[in-house]
Amino acid sequence: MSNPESGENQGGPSSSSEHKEFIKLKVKGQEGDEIHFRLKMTTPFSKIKKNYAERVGVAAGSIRLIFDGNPVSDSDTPRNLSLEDDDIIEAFVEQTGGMLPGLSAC
Amino acid sequence: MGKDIEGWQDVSVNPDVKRGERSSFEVPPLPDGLRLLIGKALEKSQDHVVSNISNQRVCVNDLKTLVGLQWLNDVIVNAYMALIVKRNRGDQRLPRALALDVYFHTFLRSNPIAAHQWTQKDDIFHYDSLLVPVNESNHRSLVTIDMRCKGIRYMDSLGRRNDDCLRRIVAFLTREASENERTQVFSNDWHCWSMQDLPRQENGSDCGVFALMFAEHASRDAATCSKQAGRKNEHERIGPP
Repeated sequence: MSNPESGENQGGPSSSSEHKEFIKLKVKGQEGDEIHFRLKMTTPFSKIKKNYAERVGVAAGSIRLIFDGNPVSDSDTPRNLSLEDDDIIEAFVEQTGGMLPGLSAC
Repeated sequence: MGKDIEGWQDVSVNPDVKRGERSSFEVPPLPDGLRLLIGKALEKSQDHVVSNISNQRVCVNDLKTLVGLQWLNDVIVNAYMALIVKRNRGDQRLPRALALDVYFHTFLRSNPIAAHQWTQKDDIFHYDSLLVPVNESNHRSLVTIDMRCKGIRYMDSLGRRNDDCLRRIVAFLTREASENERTQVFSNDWHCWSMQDLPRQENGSDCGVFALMFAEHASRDAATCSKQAGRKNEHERIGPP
């Protein structure tokens, strides 16, 4: 599977971070999985979420992305969050909660 | 309210009494107009945004987790916590409260050291009360950290003890104290315990509602004690955001 925005071209590893066009990010799940993405600075996180969700086999709507404790919204981009190469985005699968497994009747 | 919730002994902060002395408090019932408004909101499309509190966007599909015996989702928990924090910030009589993200505890479990990234914006010891939502094995509970009385309480509507969780929180606070050069604040004169005599859920669905009610009481310095659960419509009481 390819990343939607990873781009086949080399994207020009720009030396100036201000005008950087591409960024490398890690999306880390809570089961220890880690997926590396290379994407445009202007790519909305909705795409990352969708791609990550497909890879781990859950619905995109149930993925929550968090960077340094702050929720990342679908419309956020690496640029507006001022992300840098190798930053780690934490991914959580939506938790609900009602009972303990094994208890009867929900 | 309180009247239709058997078993809850709601006791609230009274600004004129010293800490430790508590007076009664009743959560008002949901007005009919508001009930109507919620009904209308629920008819809208799933992704319709019904509120946006402290950047916590709540959509219709989130709101629906408050209906009947649905399990509250993460968005509702964060949004309700945001409301508590906002209210307390606007009222100097109430404790300065900070709520940690609904996923914080899950992150802390697997990343004890990195958890500091989640709180580095704030000196947590600056607050009176910290609220930490907990979700383990699809069961929600709450940890409250009271900086004033130096107490850490685990509150679970199944009445369980959770020593592992308390140890985790103590270790976290120890590291935070060290990071914030607050080691004199957090030392071995603190105590922590799993609270007994809390209201209990009687079904397999309401732990989230109870966790938020525990947070509601804690954030008002109100006591939460009861011998039995007997809860009826608190899903409705928690809503609307």
